[in-house]
Parts: sequence; C-alpha cells; structure tokens
Amino acid sequence: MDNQVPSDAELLKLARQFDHPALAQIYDSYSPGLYQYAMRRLSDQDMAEECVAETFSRFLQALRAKRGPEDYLQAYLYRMAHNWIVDEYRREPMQTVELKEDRRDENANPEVDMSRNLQQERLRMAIKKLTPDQQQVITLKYLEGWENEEIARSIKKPAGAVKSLQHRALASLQKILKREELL
Amino acid sequence: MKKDEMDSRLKNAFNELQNIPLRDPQAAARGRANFLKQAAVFRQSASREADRRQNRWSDTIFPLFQRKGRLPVLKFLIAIVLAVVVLFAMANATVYAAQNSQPGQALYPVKTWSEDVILSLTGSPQMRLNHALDFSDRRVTEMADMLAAGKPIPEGVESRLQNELDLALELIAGMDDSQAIQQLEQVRQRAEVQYQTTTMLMSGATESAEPLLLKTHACLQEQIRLATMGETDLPGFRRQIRQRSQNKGGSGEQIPGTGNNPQGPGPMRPTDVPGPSGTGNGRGSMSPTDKPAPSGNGNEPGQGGNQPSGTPGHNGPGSQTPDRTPQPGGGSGHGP
Repeated sequence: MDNQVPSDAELLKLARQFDHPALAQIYDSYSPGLYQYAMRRLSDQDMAEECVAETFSRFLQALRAKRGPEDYLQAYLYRMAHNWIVDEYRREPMQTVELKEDRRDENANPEVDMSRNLQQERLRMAIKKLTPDQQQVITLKYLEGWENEEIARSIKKPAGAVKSLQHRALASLQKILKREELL
Repeated sequence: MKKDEMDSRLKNAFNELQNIPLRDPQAAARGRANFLKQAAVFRQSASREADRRQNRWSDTIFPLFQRKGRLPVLKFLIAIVLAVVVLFAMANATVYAAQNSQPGQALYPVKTWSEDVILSLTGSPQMRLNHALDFSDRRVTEMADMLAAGKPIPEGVESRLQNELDLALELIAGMDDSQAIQQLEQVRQRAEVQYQTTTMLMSGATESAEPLLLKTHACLQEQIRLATMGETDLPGFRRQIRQRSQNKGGSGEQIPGTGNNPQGPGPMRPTDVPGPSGTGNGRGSMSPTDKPAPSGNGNEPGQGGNQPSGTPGHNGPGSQTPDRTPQPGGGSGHGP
C-alpha cells in the first residue's frame, strides 16, 4: 500500500481548487499502485494505463462537480478503478485464456513462462467469475495486501461484510479453480 | 485434497499474480501529463466561473465588503443606517412619551399630531370611528385633568373634541344602515358619558372655564341629539350630517343615499336643529324647517344647535342629561 500522502484531507482541499502541485502529488502517490492493481486484474498494459487515466479523469470530474471524497482518497481511487474494470468486463465478452508476452523476463525459460502465464490467466478468469464485490475484496486482500478496514472503506461496506465476502469469494474461487483443474 | 493444501495452492496462485511487468515509464509520464493538463483546463474553467460570479456582485454591493479602498463608503452607509434607526427609535419614544402630556405642555402638539397621523393613516371607517371616539374621550379627560390642576383649558381642546365628534358622525353617516344604527348607539352612549362628565365638571368649574365647558356641553348635546335621531331616522340623520359638512365647507365623509339630489332636502340652517326637549317629530323624517319644540322639563336647548356660539341650555332640576330628540313617539327625553 502506498501511504506517502501525509493528509488526504489537506491534499483534497487543495485539489478542489485544482492546485497543480497537490494534484501532481496525488497522481505520483497513487498512480503506480493503481497501475499495478489494474494490471493484476486486466493483465494488459494498455488497458491498465487506460484504467489509471480514466480513474484520475473521473476523480477530476468529481472535484469539478463539487463531489468526490472528503478523505480516504486511496479507497476512493481504487473504487473508481474497480468500477471501471467491472464495466470493462461487462463490455468485453469473456475472453479465452491468451498467453501474453512477458516483457520483464525476456531471458527466462519459455516453457516455465508459458506455464506460469497460463496459470495466471486462469486465475484471472476465475476471479472474473466472482461477483464485483467479491472480486474487489479478493484482489485488494490477496493481491494488494490491504487490511479489512481499508477494504471496507473502499467498497463502502462494514468490515464484517468484508470478511463474509472474503470467505464466500474464496470458496467460490476454489470451486471454480478445482473445476478448471488448476488446483 | 485437503482444505489447507488447497488454500496454500491458492495462495501460490495469488502470489503468481503479484508478478507483473514493470510500467512503461513513457506511458506513465504521458498519463501524468494528460492528468495535469485536464486539471489545468478544469482550473481555468473554475476560475472563469468564479469571475462571472464575482462580476455579478461587483456591480452592486459586494465590492463594498471586499475592497479595502471602498471601506469608507461602507462605513458611511452603516452610519446612515444607524442614524436612521436611532432617529426612528427616538421619534417613537417621543410619541410614546407624548401620549401622557396635557394641553399647554411641550409634548402636547406631538400627541395631537400623532392622533392626526393615526386618523389619516387608518383606512377602515370602523377603525377610524373607534379612534375618533377614543380621542374624544381623551379630550374630555384632559379637560377634567386641567380643571383639577386649576389650570385654564386651552381653546384648542374643545375645538378638537368637536372635530372628533363631527368626524365620528360623518363616518357613521357613510356606513351601511345596519352598521350605522349599531354605531350610532355606541356613539350616543359614549357621548352621554362625556356629557355627564362635563356636567360634573361645570359644577366645580371656575368662571373663566365655564364658557368653554358650556360650549363643550352644547357640542355633546348636539352629538347625542343627532345620534338619537339617527337611530330612528337614518336618512334624516344623513341629510343633516351632509348639511353640516357643507356648512363647514369641508368635503366630509362620503354619505350614501344623500347625494346631490335637487329633489332632496334644502339647505338647513344651523338654527333648524330641533331642540332636545323630546317633543320633536317622533319617528320619521325630520324636515329641515322643523323648529325645536320648547322644552317642558327645564332643558333649554342652545339657540342655534350646533352653532358653537350658541348658548347651551342649562340643566333644569332633576336632570343632568340632555333630552334625546327626536324621540320616537315624542314625550320628554331620557337621561343617558
């Protein structure tokens, strides 16, 4: 998690006046984490960039409309990103598992990479089959490493509901993966 | 497969997803630039909107509160408002204090002025009538207070009383029949009380005060006579009131049913007022040429009726009140 922003409330107060340094600080603080989050869920660099761009654009539009968050900016931004991804899933038909080139490991063993990519894509496909709230809880909990309270703020539900969602999501995921013979 | 084993394999799968390719720095820079560019556009838009809002106010009052250079203007305006408020409060206090003043005192003109203002600002005839009667009560009370203090009664008090009584009758003459009869009764009763008061005042009055009291007495007698007549002969009452108004030269109140009909009653001389002896014409209309009947009970009417210079009758023994004329069915009058 990225906790470099000292005070969300102060930053947001300046951001509402479209203060350039404050907005730049917000972008620099949250953009990398949001990109990683989008990449883990979308597995597509262009789409992840688009997700980040659209998230921050919606944030600016909310500020212009005198809406947007009063605090907990991180939770707000991840909620925006999650909504964009869910909408994207709805727009795009369920894709078949596609092996993608791993730009990071150019010298790695292709067979190992292929196997790993296949597994990653199957897991993503399995996550996509969960409900939107379950997807968000699983992603934030196990991929982003958030605490339940932070997840609760992001999905705007009590911490108890997050725990419940988490259990159900894990159970569903295991069933799906077992059916896919991934586990 | 056991649950724990499955969980660990699931965790491994999640761990695999942790590994993602590094972000393209150029794409990240482009994203940042686009974001800040969009923010700049929004900032300019918000600034223009704020300017428009400010311009709307700038032509009016807002700059007075904003700009340092215009602070004296604001102070000047505040001073004027405060001065107006203070003056208004002082005027109110003066008028309030003047209500207890007596004729001859410094605040007495304020009292009478405030009464005139009230009468002129009151639109409802009923309310004006109530005010006029209240003010006439005040005049009688003022006379009593002046006499009790051994001071002479200024001429203006009596003339104001007469004007107020005249106004009351003119207002009644302008009302519709049922309301007029109801109000005439009220006016008669109040005039009778005032008459009794002045009668008592006359018994202890100094010689110098007597002429004025006699004048007041006659005025009240006339008031009672007209009110009594109006209760039984409303058209005749209206004719007389209209005639009085014409004789005074004032326009008077609008009196319905007594328009300038050439067929109507002719002009009535002040001496045509019937006497208060109760031996008048009884029920029915009174001719302007009717002469007052001689009084048989000691109440000699003033010659000239409502003529201020007329000599009011003196009360005979056994009677302190004027007779009501005309009395339905004739006969001697009744005390109030």
